[in-house]
Amino acid sequence: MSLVLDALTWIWNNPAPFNRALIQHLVMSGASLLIALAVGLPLAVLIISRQTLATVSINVVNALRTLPSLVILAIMMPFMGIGLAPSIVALTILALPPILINAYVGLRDVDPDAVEAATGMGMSRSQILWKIRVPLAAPAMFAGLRTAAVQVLAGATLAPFIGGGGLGDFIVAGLGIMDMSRLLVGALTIAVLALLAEFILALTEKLLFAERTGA
Amino acid sequence: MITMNHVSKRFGDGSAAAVDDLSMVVPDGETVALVGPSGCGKTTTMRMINRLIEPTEGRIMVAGEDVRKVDPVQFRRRIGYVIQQVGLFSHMTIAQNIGAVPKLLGWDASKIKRRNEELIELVGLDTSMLSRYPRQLSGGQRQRVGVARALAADPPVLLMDEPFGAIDPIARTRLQNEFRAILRRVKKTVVMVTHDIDEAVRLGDRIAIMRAGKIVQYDTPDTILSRPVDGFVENFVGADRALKRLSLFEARNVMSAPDEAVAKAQVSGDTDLRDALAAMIAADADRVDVVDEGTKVGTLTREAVFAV
Ligand SMILES: Nc1ncnc2c1ncn2[C@@H]1O[C@H](COP(=O)(O)OP(=O)(O)OP(=O)(O)O)[C@@H](O)[C@H]1O
Ligand SMILES: [Mg+2]
Repeated sequence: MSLVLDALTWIWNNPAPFNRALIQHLVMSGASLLIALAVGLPLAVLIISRQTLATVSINVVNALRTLPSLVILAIMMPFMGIGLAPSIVALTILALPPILINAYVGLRDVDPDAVEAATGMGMSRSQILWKIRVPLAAPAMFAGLRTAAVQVLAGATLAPFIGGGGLGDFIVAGLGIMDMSRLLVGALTIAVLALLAEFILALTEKLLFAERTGA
Repeated sequence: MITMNHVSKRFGDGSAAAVDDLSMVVPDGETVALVGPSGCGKTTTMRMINRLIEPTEGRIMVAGEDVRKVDPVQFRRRIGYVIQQVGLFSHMTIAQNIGAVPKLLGWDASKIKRRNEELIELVGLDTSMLSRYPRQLSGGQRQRVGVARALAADPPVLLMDEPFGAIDPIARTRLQNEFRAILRRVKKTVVMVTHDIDEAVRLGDRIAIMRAGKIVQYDTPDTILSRPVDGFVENFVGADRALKRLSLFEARNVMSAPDEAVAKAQVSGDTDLRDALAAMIAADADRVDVVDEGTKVGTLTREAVFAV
């Protein structure tokens, strides 16, 4: 318990480096989530009516998903060097699978009766996509974002290995000087961030989709 | 008018025909009920009319146009369609569901709102339901919304796949009667699928009895019930077909001039003969008085009922 107290005291006494690391962590995670959304959602829409493209994309992304975060980070280095940018790219790769796969499956498995009714009443293909499929798949897309957010916040812990900074710096430093309270500064904050993200996104999801699910 | 000319549908090469060389004419303003056992091709037949399924062979004309030659999207907006599984849009309110086709057609918001209110009442639901979501309705209520949605833009042609299937018997009869009244007021060409021969008799100007992708008999309810072409139809319409047939006639059309005697029971002019006969049996009488608005307008005898 005293270790936790030590960690909190350290944060209190060193606001500047703590805030800088926190902001780096959030910027890195936020940016990669945004990029993953910007790539993943349109891609899901694009491949929904193209069977081969869908199979290829899903397989590629599934293969990426099996790679450990550290490996992705390491692979980035020879191509992009070190710093924030390669970290963001690596984290984007981490965020892409849950976002793309959830969105794709959500769009694909939309209630076929709704699609049949929409077709039968004279909606065009694009109207069915935008007015029926996308809104019906929105909860699945949101679930993908939730998973990705937690993964990215946790994954960003490894960014120090390629000079990306963030809260992982404290863990690396703590390990280096065998200072457990310093290690906890990073670890605890990351854990709190991940839990908070999960909580806020779950709440948002509920607010957004409660009515239609009849809750 | 809907014309189906030697239409067949095979799902996949070499598979048995789901619809097999089917020909049928649905005259303008008439209602045709497709009945038959599960899997006999009713839904497939219906879905070929609005081109949700392309026929393997044959030609389908709707209002003088070959359906293969029209733009399916525009064409379908003029055809009300109730699917067997209702298929409401769960992310839209009931109002948005009912107003979907009017919105596609570019109606303004106030017109859509008025139409929604009209329709929700027509199908026997409260206007407060309009702001709900489909999951907040019972199965029967959802089905009524499905019917309202199909009627929304007042299409000249309606295709309905078991539209009243999930509704309890009392509400169902009421809705069928409402629906018949609507059809009398506004001329619509309707193809409806049902499992329920009573529903077919009540709503259909003609009934098509289907079996294994073919029409076995296509006739008026009267003819189907009085002269089934074979054992299959006879079985399908049931042993009480003579009684069912009585429900096709109203007392006022069969009664004779009012006589002096006061009968033990009374019916109104629009009572069907089946109910009138039931009234005679209940009163142990061989005649009933036909009374409209307090005045005796005729006498209906058992002999007259038996003679129709
Ligand atoms: N998309 C499809 N692919 C393959 N076979 C199909 C398809 N749709 C229908 N069928 C087959 O065609 C036949 C007729 O089906 P259809 O849905 O028209 O029956 P139905 O008369 O409407 O039955 P029900 O009363 O159970 O709704 C069935 O044997 C069914 O399995
Ligand atoms: Mg069917």
